[in-house]
Amino acid sequence: MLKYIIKRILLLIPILLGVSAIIFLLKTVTPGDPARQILGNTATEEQVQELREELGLNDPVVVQYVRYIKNIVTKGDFGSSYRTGEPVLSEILPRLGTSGIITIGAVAIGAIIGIVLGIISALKKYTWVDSLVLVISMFFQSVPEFVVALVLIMVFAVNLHWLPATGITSIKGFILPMVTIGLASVASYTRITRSSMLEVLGEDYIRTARAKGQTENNITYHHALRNAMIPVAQSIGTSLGNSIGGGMVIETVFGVPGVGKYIVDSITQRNYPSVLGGALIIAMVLTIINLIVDISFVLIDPRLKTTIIAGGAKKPKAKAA
Amino acid sequence: MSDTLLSVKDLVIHYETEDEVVEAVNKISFDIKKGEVLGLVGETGAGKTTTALGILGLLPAKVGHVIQGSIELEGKDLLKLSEKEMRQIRGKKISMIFQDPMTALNPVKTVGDQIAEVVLLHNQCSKAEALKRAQEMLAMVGIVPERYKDYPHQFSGGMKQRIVIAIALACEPELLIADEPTTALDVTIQAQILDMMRKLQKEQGTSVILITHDLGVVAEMCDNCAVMYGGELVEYGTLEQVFDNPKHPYTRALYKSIPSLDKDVERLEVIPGLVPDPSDLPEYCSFFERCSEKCDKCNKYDPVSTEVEPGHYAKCLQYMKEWEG
Amino acid sequence: MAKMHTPAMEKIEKKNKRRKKPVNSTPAYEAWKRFRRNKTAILGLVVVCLLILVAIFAPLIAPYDYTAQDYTAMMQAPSAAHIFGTDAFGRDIFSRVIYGTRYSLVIALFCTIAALFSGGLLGIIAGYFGGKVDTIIMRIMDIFQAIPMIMMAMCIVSVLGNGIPQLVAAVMFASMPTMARNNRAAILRVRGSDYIESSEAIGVGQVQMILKHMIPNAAGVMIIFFVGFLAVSIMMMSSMSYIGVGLAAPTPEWGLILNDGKAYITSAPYMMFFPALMIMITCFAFNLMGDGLRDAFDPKSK
Repeated sequence: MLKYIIKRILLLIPILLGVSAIIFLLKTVTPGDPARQILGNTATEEQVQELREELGLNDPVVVQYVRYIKNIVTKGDFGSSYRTGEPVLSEILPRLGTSGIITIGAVAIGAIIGIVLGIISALKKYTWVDSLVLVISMFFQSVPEFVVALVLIMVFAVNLHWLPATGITSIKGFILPMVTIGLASVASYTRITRSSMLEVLGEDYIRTARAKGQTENNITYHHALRNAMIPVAQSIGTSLGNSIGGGMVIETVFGVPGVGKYIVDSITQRNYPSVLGGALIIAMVLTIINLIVDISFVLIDPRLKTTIIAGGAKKPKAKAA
Repeated sequence: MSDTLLSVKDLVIHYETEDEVVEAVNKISFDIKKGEVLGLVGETGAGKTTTALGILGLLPAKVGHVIQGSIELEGKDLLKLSEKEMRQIRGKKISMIFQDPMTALNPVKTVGDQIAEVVLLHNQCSKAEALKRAQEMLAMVGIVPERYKDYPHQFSGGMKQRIVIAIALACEPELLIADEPTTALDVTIQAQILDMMRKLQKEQGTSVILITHDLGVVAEMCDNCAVMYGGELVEYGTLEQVFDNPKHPYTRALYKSIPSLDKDVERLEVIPGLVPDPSDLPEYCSFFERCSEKCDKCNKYDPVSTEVEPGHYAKCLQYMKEWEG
Repeated sequence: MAKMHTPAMEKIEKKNKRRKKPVNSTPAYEAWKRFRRNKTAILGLVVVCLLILVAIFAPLIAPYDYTAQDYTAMMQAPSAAHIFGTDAFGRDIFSRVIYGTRYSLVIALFCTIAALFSGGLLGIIAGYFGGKVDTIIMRIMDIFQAIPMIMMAMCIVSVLGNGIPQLVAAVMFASMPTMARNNRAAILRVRGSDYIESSEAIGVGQVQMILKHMIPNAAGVMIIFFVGFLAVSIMMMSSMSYIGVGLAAPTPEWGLILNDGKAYITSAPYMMFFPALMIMITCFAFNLMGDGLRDAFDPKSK
């Protein structure tokens, strides 16, 4: 088990190096001279050149990349914001917490609604209930998150005055962003739960349970559900990581000071170190979350555990749909 | 016949889908006495498994329908029972062993829990008692009882089938339906499993319906033998009657198609043609197209089962006196 | 003919009698037959066809030029002259939305084609050749996957700048890992089947194998991705332009029209209502159609 975890952590290194390479590449093709941007239009060409030399911008790209990685590894330095001069890392860390809370709430809302709908749909397959559930969940899948956000703002903030439209000055402020992101993921959970449930209900061991004289309710909840939840849980795990950085639009719409909004703001302000440093930090967080999710699956699913301890196993990867 | 355990009469089962109706089982009748082992033989698609599922009331929902007939267990018609009453029969009075042990066990539950589940369902006892019974059952089928905490994937195919048998026998059922219990296993394991089943059957006095396409297995295990073809019972009799004196042309053809150690044949004979399409059965004898003994009346009438010697029935026109001449 | 006659059989017999001569049944025809039976999928198809017609005939349908500003008619609620109302510059929202169909559909189409040709092709290559090629491509895709799709797209747009080609490139790169993975899975499924192995055994060439055997057999799955991705790219595109990243004004893309109306959400909600409705209808139609296609090509999945 420990060997597996160490192996997985070692596998992280090339992925993170790759991500940083992509981001560094984006950084180098970015238009405009960073030195000029820092100093502003009033600076002389000499001053700019001096700063370029100081920042090492005149070195070959490879040298710059190695230095970039070295700074990250040794100093935790992901670059500094053009606007504030603050290190990107210290600007992002507090925002990660905010985004994290919203993500967890959203995934919980989406998964609970989606799993319930999916089970109903599977148990009532081919009836009008099933079709209705599928059409409704597909409708929510078809509405862009920001449109849902706008509708919720119109109803709960503008008309009913129950919840604030923007900002998270109180706990109430978290509700609308969570619900919005949650609703958008209902469709995929419904679909996964339904198909996984239907597949499991067709398995031989369900017939064995029936032959034992087990009631349909117990078959559904004791035999089928646990097996059917494995792919659902895997997709919850994957979306946990993805939504942290994927909530950019919603955070912007609701004015939530999370990492997503930070990056969007940096994009509109052409604050490239913040954009790219932020993206790299998020990619790292996401990869680590995915690793934790994968490892916890090995602990939960008895079958995976044996195959991995036995050694010859491929890494159990949650496949992105 | 007071010692009759199960009596199936004129059972007809159809699978109805939007595009076709599959006539899986057509008017079959047979009895099983207490402690009897009945072999149900036939090719794939002959309706053996459907018959078994029909007896347990486990036909696929919405698709499988019992069109007519009766299935009486100790005089009670199972088809008239409510779902709740049927649940009390399943696992307790009738249990079933399925073909593929690899998929028949729930992968996320320990085998002990899975055996205990059936015990808990049909007995008033605590979880601990049920688990103890599960361990006894494991020992009975030749598995170290301490392994009750293991998951199915930690066992080999033959071991899994032993566990499936343990589940089926845990409540000492009166009737055990074994659907090709050894088909998915290696030949050497097959013999072990069959030996064990025979031993347990003798000990518990259970009646068994053994579904198989392997005549060798029937010869080893069964008292009586029923041959199915195209959803019909074409021949029924004691093991000796059916094996030594087969009456139906299909049964005879079957024997010629299997290798034998006693007889020295140059080539095995093959039954020409294919199994009839059960969604498009003829109104006359289903075996007509492939029969080597057919006469010109065979494609006009559907024969009924006739007693050719005491207790030996065959469904062929040649034994129906009234049609001759 | 049968041993026994039941009501169910008679119903089927009647149905068979009504049917004309049996048609040559190809997999595509079978899929179409299943698709046709699916009412919601047909609804999706009809709506998509209507949208395509609207896009083609936009100049004929739209009563005004989508850039024409009329300072005498600013921020008017829907009326006979401006059925969807006008925006802050006095532009007719109906005309903008109609032209928006053209932009949204065409950009979505470009994005999808680009995604299929980059990520899709990589996936096909990885799946077909397997081994080292597969490992290298998929590890690179793993790296790309570490960045959330929309964030990747935004980072690329932020570097390349706003504009349609930049947006297409952004969506293409961002969707590459998902596309590659899906197409690889589709190819692997076909590759594992016996007929491919038997064609290999009789010495069918590689190019011929991909073109004649694998792509036709994986085509169903790829069509499903294609239709599904149209909806995804419309949503991505409109989300990005709504928060001001991706396309530049005055392109009448739906997300941008929404962005224009953002400031007036309480005073003039109609400005946002119609473009939002169009996005919803379009994505819903594509998703309905995609779902119908999934059932049609892969009947076992339902």
